[in-house]
Amino acid sequence: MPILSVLIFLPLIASLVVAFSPDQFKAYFKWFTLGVTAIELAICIYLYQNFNHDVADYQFLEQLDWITLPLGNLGIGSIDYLLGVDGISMPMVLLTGIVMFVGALSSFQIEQKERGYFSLYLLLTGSVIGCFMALDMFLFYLFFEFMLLPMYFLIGIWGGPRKEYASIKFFLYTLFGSIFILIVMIALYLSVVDPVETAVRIGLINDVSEITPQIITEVQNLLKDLKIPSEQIVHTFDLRFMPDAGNFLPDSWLNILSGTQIFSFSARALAFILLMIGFGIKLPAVPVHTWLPDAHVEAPTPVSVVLAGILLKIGGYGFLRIAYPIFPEVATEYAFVIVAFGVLSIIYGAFNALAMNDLKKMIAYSSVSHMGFVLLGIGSLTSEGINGAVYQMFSHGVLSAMLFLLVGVLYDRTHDRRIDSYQGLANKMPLYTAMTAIAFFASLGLPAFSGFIGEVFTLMGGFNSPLIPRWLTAIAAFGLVLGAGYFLWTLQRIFFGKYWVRQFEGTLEDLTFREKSMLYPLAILAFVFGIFPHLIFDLTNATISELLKLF
Amino acid sequence: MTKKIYLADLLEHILESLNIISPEVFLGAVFLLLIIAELFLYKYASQKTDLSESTNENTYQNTLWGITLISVLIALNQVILQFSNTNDTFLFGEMLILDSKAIFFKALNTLSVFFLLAHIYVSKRKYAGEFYPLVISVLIGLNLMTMSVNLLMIYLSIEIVSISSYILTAFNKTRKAAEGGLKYILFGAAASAVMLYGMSLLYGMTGTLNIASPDFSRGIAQTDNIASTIAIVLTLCGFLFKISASPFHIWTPDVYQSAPTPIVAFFAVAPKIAAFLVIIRFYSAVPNDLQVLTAVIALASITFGNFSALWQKDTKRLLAYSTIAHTGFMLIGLVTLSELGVKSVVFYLIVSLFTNFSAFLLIDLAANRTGNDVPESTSKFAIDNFKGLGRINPLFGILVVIVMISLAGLPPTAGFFAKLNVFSALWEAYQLSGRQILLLLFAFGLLNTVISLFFYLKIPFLMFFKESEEGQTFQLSTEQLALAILLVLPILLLFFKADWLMNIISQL
Repeated sequence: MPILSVLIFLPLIASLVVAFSPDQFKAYFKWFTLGVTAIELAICIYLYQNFNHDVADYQFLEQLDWITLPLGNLGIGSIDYLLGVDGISMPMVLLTGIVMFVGALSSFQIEQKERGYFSLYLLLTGSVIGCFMALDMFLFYLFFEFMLLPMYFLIGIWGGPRKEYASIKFFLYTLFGSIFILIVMIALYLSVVDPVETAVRIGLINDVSEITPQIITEVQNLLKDLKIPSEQIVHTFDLRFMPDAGNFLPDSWLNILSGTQIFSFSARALAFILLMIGFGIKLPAVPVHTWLPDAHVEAPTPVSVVLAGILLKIGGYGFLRIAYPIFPEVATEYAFVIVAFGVLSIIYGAFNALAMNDLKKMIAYSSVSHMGFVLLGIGSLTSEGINGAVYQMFSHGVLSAMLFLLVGVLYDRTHDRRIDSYQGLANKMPLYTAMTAIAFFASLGLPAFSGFIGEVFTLMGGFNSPLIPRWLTAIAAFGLVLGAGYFLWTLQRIFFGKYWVRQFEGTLEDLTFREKSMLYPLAILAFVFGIFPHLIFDLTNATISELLKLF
Repeated sequence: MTKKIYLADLLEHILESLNIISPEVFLGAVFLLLIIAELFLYKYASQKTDLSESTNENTYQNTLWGITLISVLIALNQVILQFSNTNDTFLFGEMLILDSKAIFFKALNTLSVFFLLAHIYVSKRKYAGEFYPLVISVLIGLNLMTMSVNLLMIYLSIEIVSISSYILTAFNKTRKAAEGGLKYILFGAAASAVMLYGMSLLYGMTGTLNIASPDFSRGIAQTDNIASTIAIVLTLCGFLFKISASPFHIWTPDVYQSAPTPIVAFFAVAPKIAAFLVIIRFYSAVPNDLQVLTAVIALASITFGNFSALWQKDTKRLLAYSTIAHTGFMLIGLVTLSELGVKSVVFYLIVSLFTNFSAFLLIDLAANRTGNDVPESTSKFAIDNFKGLGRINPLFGILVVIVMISLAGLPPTAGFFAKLNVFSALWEAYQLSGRQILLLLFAFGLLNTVISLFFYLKIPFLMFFKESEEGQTFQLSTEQLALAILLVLPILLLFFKADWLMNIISQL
């Protein structure tokens, strides 16, 4: 059974079902959505269990010819429907399953225009998960862009007071980034040749299934000697072929030997930089992070959960899936710059978080700070660093989902997110206090929780990397102190002392059953992954050591 | 003696040619038929019987509409039949050429007239009898444009299209319409005068009007490069006016605002389709290097179009500026002067046929909904009138979102593929020539998507994010919905199966 396609199309079809079902089923939309995301989660867990840890290559591959574009005298362009997961995408797929399920639970509070909301939510689920599994760059880009639309409407219709501003800012910012990716995509597919299909076209083999490594080498040699007429060349979006320098056309500017200069950058360096900006906006890295606090503050709780939990990870995932494998030598050259931006994000995000009075903004900036560690780990180009970065993404996905849910709990009761509006909540809401404490401690990197592993490994990567100076990583480590600072300070201000809430007459209820059912599992996950980090490292290790061979 | 034989041959050639352009001959006959039919029917319709006055009026309208529709369908059928049984032939002493490109573009022209008629039908518009013959004459002019390879023929066919268009623009007979029509005719006359001047220079340089003949290219190549380029640019002015490329775009928003909406949709599509084929033929005939010039025009069109659209408060003006920007994107395909570039232009034109027709249809339906009563001084098409419509009628809202996304060029719509093709061709051209202006065009053109998204999203934004006024209702009739879906479906289909169309185009 094409299990990965089911993961994508189940929510898409479910979205249509919700959109076109009659009004009398309104009350069941949320249950239906919850059911669909539960099935998704079950499939993700099934994938996780059947994932072969020793294989570095893609698994559960699905391939279909989709569009074969005649490009005239340039040959043909081949776009495939190509899905697969490897050690980098598997944790992300699992994370998507978890966060989307929790988000669906949290969406029960949506009380207006349910049909539109749940339909868009399911649409978002399908496109996000597709983004993590697509191995064809065109398909990846399709999902990458397509998820902006549901997000735009989810923030813009169900959001807070400045939702219109926030949603359009989010859309334009991310689109701006994705245009950079599109530029590189066009240049890449015109440069990269699919050796398998080209072999079929020039008659070396009769069918794709007869391919052997010798044939691929033969095609690459023919290519290098310009012996293949350009009408016979099959251009490809296939991300599996792009890391191999032999598949690049010898006269294309992105060929590693071409040495073309554009604005005194080499063409390859420029392409890499564009990709880094494009995905950096999504991550988000300072200084292109400004959409994030706005989007978070205005988005309804479940959308914030999805945004922080998954959407930010697509940035980091894009680095590892596209930018780094295709342009390894540029990545080495610019390692210092990349890590410097990572460290800047860590420190700048943390200082901002310290200054914020709005709880959601504080957490949004803590996200910026935590995603800085991802950049640090990836930039270090060490095994610890990159493994740690993937781990950090997973852990932050779980923890930030939890943090935003916790804010949502408070906001639902009082409609006030200001930190200085609360005091001494521990007396009235002991369970809530406990959950917040767990989430805060886990996020600030207390050992035995998942945040610790991610941060320590990325820092280790930074210190061990020969490419970056020690002092830079040392500054990043200071970010941990700041993190502890803003989390503990917030904890103290809100929960300790004498009970007082600004302009709120009623009694504050402690966690309800639904809230418990969202928060407890996340807390347990943070704990379990903190104690057994190999649950993730086993997945990533083989793929990442294979990736590092490129450098 | 020899002369006599020559004449007989010539006559035979003309007769043969007449036979081959049967769709146009047929349309000419229909044109006459409509004028005559209108005379009789008008009398019938104006007979005053107390009870059946409106019925007579309806019969009058429906008959004219019906005749036009049936003859357009017959013409479409004839054009399609030409596909299978014609190879490239020169007609009327190398005035016209009938090749597969011309036939394909003729089919597109005819298809646009079909959509125009469908739009008129679903929006229940009534027009005075001259309307339909004028539409037919535009179609004849467009078909001749696609086949012309002679400068004089090009000029004549452009004038046929233009003159009918001037009248159609002012057809509403309001002050606004008269203003738009007048602006159109003034700019149009100036542009065609300049074009004619350029053509006369070209004739002087080459001694031939036939752009397909080798003498033409040779003659230009032997002339001083600056002189010939000036003549070529002057000639191009007329073409650029027709596709409303910058700096000849100034008429567009005013005309679009004042002309009847179905006609606007038609203007935004059909003359561009035909004019682009003329430009493609002209570009392949002249040996001069027009790359930088075209790149500058494309860049200017994209910039003017998108940045002006940002400030528009009227949907028709907004779409007018958007078509200017789209012209710029299509010109990129010509910048490359490559096979892929030309193909991508054709693809883009077909995509814009569907997107423009559906965009204008949708805003028209929304503007003319019952209950949209606006004061005399303001336009029905003001963007604020779209508030909350998506909440009242979500299906309509979704259709608008798809169209706007396609105009902006985001996946999963055909607009994205159109841009992808054009920019692929541009990258290839840049790699070959290494000209910095091409890189500028590449990066700036793509980044313009971000700017354009801002105004394209305005309409969905108002439709979904704002509450509508109290008591608004908005329902589409079955045929309105059917036509809208018929126009929007290809937009999605041409994304998911873009190669179907590309394969057809690459056979041209």
